[in-house]
Amino acid sequence: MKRFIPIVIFIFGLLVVIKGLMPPRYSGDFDVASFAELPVQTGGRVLPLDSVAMNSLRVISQRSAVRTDDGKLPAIEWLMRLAFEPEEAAGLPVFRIDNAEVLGLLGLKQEDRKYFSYDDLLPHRQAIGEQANQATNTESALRSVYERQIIKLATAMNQYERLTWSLHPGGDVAQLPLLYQRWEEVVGPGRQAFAQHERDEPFDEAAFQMFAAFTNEFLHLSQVADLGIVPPTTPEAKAENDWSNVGEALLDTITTGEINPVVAGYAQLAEAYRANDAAAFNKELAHMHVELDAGAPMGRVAFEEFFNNFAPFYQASILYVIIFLVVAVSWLKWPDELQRSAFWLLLLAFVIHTFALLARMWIQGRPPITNLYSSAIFVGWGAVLLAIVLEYIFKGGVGSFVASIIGFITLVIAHNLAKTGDTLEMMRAVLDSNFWLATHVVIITFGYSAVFLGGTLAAYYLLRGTLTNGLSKEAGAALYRMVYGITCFSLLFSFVGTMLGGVWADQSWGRFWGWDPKENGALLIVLWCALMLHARWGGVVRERGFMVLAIGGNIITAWSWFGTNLLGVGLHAYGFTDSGFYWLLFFWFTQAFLIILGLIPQKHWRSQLISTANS
Amino acid sequence: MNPVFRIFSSLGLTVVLLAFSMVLVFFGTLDQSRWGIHETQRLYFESFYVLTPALSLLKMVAGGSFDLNLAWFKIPLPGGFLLGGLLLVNLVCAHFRYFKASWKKTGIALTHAGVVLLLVSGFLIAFLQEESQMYVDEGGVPVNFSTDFRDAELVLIDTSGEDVDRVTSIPRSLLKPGSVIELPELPVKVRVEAYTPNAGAAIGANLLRHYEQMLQNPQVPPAQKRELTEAVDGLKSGEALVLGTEGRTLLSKGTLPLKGFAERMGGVIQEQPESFQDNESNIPAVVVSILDENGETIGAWMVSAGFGGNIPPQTFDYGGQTYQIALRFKRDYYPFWIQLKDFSHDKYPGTEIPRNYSSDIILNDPGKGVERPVKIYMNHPLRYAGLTFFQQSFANNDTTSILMVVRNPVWTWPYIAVLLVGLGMCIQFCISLSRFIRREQKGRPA
Amino acid sequence: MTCLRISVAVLGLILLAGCQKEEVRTYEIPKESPPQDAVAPVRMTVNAGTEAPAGDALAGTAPQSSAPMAGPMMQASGNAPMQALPGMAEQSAQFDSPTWTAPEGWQAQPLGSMRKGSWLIEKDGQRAEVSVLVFPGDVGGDLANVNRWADQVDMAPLTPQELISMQEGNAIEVDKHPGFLVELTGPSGQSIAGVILPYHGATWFFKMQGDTELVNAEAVNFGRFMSTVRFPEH
Repeated sequence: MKRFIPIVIFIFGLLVVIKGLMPPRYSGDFDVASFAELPVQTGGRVLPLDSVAMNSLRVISQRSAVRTDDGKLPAIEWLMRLAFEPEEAAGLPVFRIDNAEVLGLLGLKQEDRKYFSYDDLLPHRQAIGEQANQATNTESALRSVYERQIIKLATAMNQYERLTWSLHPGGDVAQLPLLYQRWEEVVGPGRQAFAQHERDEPFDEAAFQMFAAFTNEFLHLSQVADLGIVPPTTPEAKAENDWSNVGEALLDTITTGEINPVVAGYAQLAEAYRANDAAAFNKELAHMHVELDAGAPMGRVAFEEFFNNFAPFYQASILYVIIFLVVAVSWLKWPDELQRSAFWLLLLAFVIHTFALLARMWIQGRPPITNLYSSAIFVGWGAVLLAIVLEYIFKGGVGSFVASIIGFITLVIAHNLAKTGDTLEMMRAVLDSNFWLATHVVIITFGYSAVFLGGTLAAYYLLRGTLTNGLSKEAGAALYRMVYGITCFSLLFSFVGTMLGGVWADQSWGRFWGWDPKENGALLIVLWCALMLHARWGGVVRERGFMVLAIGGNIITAWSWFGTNLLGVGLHAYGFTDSGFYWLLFFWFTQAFLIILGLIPQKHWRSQLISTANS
Repeated sequence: MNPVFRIFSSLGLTVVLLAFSMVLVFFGTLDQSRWGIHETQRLYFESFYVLTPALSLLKMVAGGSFDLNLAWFKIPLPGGFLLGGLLLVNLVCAHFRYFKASWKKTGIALTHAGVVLLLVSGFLIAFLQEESQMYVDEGGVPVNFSTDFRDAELVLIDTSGEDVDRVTSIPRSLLKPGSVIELPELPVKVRVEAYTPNAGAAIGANLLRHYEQMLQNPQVPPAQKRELTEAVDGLKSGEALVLGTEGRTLLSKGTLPLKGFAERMGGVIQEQPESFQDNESNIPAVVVSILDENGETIGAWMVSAGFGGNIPPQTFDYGGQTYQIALRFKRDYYPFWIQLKDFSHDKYPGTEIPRNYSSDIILNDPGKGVERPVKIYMNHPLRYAGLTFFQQSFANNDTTSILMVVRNPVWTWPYIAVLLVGLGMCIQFCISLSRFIRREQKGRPA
Repeated sequence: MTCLRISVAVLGLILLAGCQKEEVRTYEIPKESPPQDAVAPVRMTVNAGTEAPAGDALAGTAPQSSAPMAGPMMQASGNAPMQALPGMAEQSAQFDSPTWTAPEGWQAQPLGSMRKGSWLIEKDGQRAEVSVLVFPGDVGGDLANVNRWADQVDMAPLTPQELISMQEGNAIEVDKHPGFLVELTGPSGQSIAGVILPYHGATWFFKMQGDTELVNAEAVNFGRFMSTVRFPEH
């Protein structure tokens, strides 16, 4: 009976993954999946509409789906409604407001609720804009929480409004077909009148006025709309891969005389959607794919859409939770079987994690780490990889256990870091060096993984040793060896990574070492690892002391990873949010607590790690 | 064993030094918000000790800004030079105490040799590295000098030569008020009347009017009002030549035989607080008297590094020669020229995110018969004549390229050091790993 | 111990190596060609966005001397693409701007710190630019200024005598401040009509430069424009 436990548990894990692989089910007969796959360009890259929806919603609402009274509304369906039935979408609670002062501005209390619809905010639109404008006058480092939050809200509203005029000129969507028809009619006579006017000849005043009004409107639109919806047609635009936004595409009508088929397509989608005519909607979608897919890197776009639906990081984090539970139970019952199950599951989670990492690399065409978000993903991945090696060598479930903790936590961190927008954004010029991204950044981040793994093992040692009697002398010694080995590994990687950073700096702006906060953070890790090893070699610390030092490694690495972003003086720019800071403080407090725990002499521990018989 | 040697060679000392290094690096990071990177580097890492306002800096991590109320609490910390030097001594001593030639120790030995080289190169770079900037305009004239905006020089330029100008450069460090500077190759001497490390030079009448207008603003706080009143009094008397940051007259005209800008325009120097921000440079200004061979004053001039091409060069004649006098950011001249053909600045489509910066230049060194086009771009500097040219910045609507020029004779040392340490660590890691695995396999029941 | 001594000695040597004293140097450099101004490291920015307003009190009348030090990473973090160079924009910001009314048909152009007014005139394929600039001091004297303009329209430089006769013949008053009119018709079809006006320690340059035909045609408008110039009263 017990023999089957690993297989059963593994199959359970596999089912979790397979469920994620199932194509998403959307309500209604509209082919939402196909709509989600329409390619557009923003932030310098071509991506599926679904990614635009998810990234926008994450900024506006801090979530990737809208929760309504009728259940969850996926991001893409929200975008569809926003674009085609904005008057309906305006009632959906999507704006998240936490700050009491901001709520006060709206005449609301904190306990009421957290999510607000556009309709809720509309009466206060002007006040919010004014307050945010005032707040931007304060230097960004000195802004109060309220100021930051009001700016955030105004930005979110702005982004929301931009989405409503990204696929068409906005306004009354019901009138779209009429508007386009009118424009097509106006454009010919208008152009003629315009030319006549230029030559000081008699011209048709009415046609001229109409033409000027339309052109003015679309010219403005072309400046503010930020979603490229029409693939480039001219050779120059193709070389730059510069897509036209809706305003530019509509202005093109002046030369072509007709509405761009993609623009017309979106209008027809809107019409069909509003008429609830799924058949017409789906037929037009098929047309648009024919129109669009030739001009877009559809392989990547479709893959990104698959990636969005699969949500591999979500699946992996579920697996990490299961692993955590399985190992915890294994220390009470069926240790061998459960630990083997956990190891198998860990391998499965690692495969998913690796797949997701590689997938992002392929979509972006970049080495794995390009921003803070991807560094969180990679730190988890590296730690899990090392932990798998440890578990393979040492057995006993400890490796799987700490892997599940680090894997889960880093994915949660990544999830929260994603709330600032597109996580596959373009690289700024100076960082644009695949070679250095692939060497320096990867190696140094792997160093972070190793330090955190060592620190988590030490935390396990200290907690298990002080709070339970479950840590045997041998297990303690094995952990000591693990942490020591990992620390050597950390030193190697953080040193090589840091110094490669120096070489990069020397290559790109002539200073091997500039003492900037991020460099100093990396240096602190190197120094700390060197200190730990020399303290051990010199007999300054032994098993318990070394573990305490390893916890210190957590504190220092967290500083180097996130803390330096708080200072805002460095040359390395990353984004970091307010709430992130409190979590960082919280993390430091937990680690300080662990250090205090570790300072208790071992004779007072519940686990007997020193031989009392001889003393 | 000698007890001093025992201490200096102990691993305990290593641990202590590493711990102090970490504290130094940590506070040296935090204090950058006050001093900027460059000044912090000088205070913390290129010094023997530093007084750090630890409490205030710690509070800054949570509060975001430096707390002046806690700034009185200062902890002395050993500086970078002291710690680096001690680590070096410690490393060398420990090597003599513990090292026994054996294959197993090659990793450690290599690593430590690399660390020694790294520390030594750190010292050398701190002393030898020079950084400056070269501005080149698209289609502009070739440029044969670079400018160090952190340093200034007072120059007397003898322009009477046919093809060449004779430049006599007095480094900023010699410009101490009251001192008389001998110029070995010129018949004149310079006496420094006043020196301000950061100041604006203004036309006295304009400044007076401006301050008077400000005084009429009822919202001016009392302290500032006092300062303004004092400055206005100084300016009204027509005596003030240099105004301090608090409005006090630091130098009066007195009997100074003023010439040039100061005489014609009623020039005044308004001192400003020094800036330590990394993206700002201080603009020094100075009032100097030129003395002839007998020590008689020829005249006194006011010069500022902020004078651009808009203020005509100030000159004086002596001994049949015409000399230009100017204070300018320190220049280094080279025997070769660089001309910018094209600067390009690409962005990602539909965004303002920069994708690439690059400068197409022509390098022309007639002395060596070199003339060739070079492309300088991100991560691809030009190394020539012991100098390295990096794409640093640009200006004037992408028509001016700013190159950073670095002279660092030991730039390869860190590379070698890193290679040694990396190699040493890898070897050591492999040795440990194989031993570890062997022991694990032995320890496990078959 | 020897090794201790050795390491101390090494350290001492390193420190000694670094202690170089700065001293006065004299060297020769090739004469710089005239457009040297174009490469002078100190200059004002023409980027209106980074221009500092007239200073506030003692803290800001002079250079908040900006940024040549920005490393490449700085651009990665900052919003502004590049910072202004250290300059004297603030100095010229002190020179009070007069007011004026530009004639219809002059298209306003972006301004800079020294450039107080700028317009483009385009008619029948011809172009002319009108600019108002201010610089502290006399900028090298009237002769140098006029000859700089002469050079811009490929004319031979004026002699001091020619300048004096021009100044006497073309003396005008702008808002009761005396200045003089400069008319330069170049051989290559480019012309300049302009006014040079010293005012409170600064020199104001009003200049229309472009195709000769258009400059002549716009001369009336330019005169009308000059008559609308009003300096702030003191």
